[in-house]
Amino acid sequence: MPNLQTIKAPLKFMIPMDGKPQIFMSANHAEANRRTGEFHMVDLDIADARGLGEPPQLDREGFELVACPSAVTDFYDESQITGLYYDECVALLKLRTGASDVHIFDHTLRVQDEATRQKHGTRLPVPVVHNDYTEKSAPQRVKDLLEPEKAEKFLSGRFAMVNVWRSFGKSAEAYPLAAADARTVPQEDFIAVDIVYPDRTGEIYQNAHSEAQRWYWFSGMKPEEAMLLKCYDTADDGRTRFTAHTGFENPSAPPGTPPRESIEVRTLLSFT
Amino acid sequence: MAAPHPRTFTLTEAEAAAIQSMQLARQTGIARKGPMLRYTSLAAPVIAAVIIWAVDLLWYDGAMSMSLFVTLLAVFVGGMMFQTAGYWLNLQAARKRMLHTTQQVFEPRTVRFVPEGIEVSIPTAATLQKWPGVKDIEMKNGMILVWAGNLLPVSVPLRAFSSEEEAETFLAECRRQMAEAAD
Repeated sequence: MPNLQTIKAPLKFMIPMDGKPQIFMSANHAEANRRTGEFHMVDLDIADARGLGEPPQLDREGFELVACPSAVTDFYDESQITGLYYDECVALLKLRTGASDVHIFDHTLRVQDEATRQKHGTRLPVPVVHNDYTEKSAPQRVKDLLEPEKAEKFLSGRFAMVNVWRSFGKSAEAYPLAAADARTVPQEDFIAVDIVYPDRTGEIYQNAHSEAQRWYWFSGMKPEEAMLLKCYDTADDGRTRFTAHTGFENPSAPPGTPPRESIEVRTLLSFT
Repeated sequence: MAAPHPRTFTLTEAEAAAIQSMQLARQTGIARKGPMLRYTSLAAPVIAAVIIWAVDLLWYDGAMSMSLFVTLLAVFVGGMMFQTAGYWLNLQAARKRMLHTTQQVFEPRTVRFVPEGIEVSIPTAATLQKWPGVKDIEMKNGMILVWAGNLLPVSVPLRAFSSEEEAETFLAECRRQMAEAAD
């Protein structure tokens, strides 16, 4: 990766196994989810995507950085998220992707600091390379979440699932988000995993590592910026369909760097 | 109002089957189509016959041969039957998939109120249904059902409560929280 600032950091990958791995969801915010299967840490060069001559794009690399200040004054205030931030995300995604309809179905706050996490009932950052949906679970989510008529509309044409990720704390440097250039991750590196809730079993991908993978992060992310992440797309015309990503401990973060506080909003986009 | 105490219970096969079929109905839209779909299915062969009769009158001046009439009718009805069979097969596939992905509904569970929503836990996993995501609350088939989209609802059988008043308190608290989250 010439001319790019890189940091070397270990990322956690899954080792392919016989049988289907499982993740058992935890509602206890102090605990990480329990995962079956074996994992290994791989030391990788993670390049600062701000240095790329051509900025990454959602349909090409699978992620992009956008400048989009938010009017939200407190991301821990649920009413500001659903009443204000959701609308901002809808407008942003329509503008950036050309989607005709955007449906927001979920958001998650992820906080490193345990006291803050306990206080606000938020979750831990995810330390495993993964993608939020699979070929099978993405259309199922549409059926799970939308009214039949709207689901029909989404499923009858191209639809995509995009996460809007934003750091709203003092700094994102201690535990930032890394994403792989989707063009460098072959489909064999995506391992389908059952994700078990008390009332349903969903499916996500966890990723194996392979040499061709190229990993990026955005240094110095500010609350006025958001990272868009393509987690699924029905389009099979060369556009990105899945994007491997993970949170990671940044060894280059100076001591005393404030812990990460981030929000990700999960969305369904229709292009019909 | 004080939050009701946690409830621990195991759904019976009948209760689990009832909520699974309610979820399937929501996902396929059958529940809302209801009688309309049935009447349309019954009326379809009659409508097909009327269309062919109109074609006979307008195109053939009422001289269409019986064999052509029967053939056309068979094509119409056969086509509809084919569509119905396809719909039925799709429904069975959806049902099979849903049964497979909701097996854990038979495990013992605890439902408790937490400030952000309702937490449901089974021995192996747990989840939190946040209040803003709750779309509908109803009492049906001897259960309190808290729906978020078309997923399996948070379901608490009335028998999990020690009294009717306790169940009413639980229901009222769910409705209050949902309304508050919607404001």
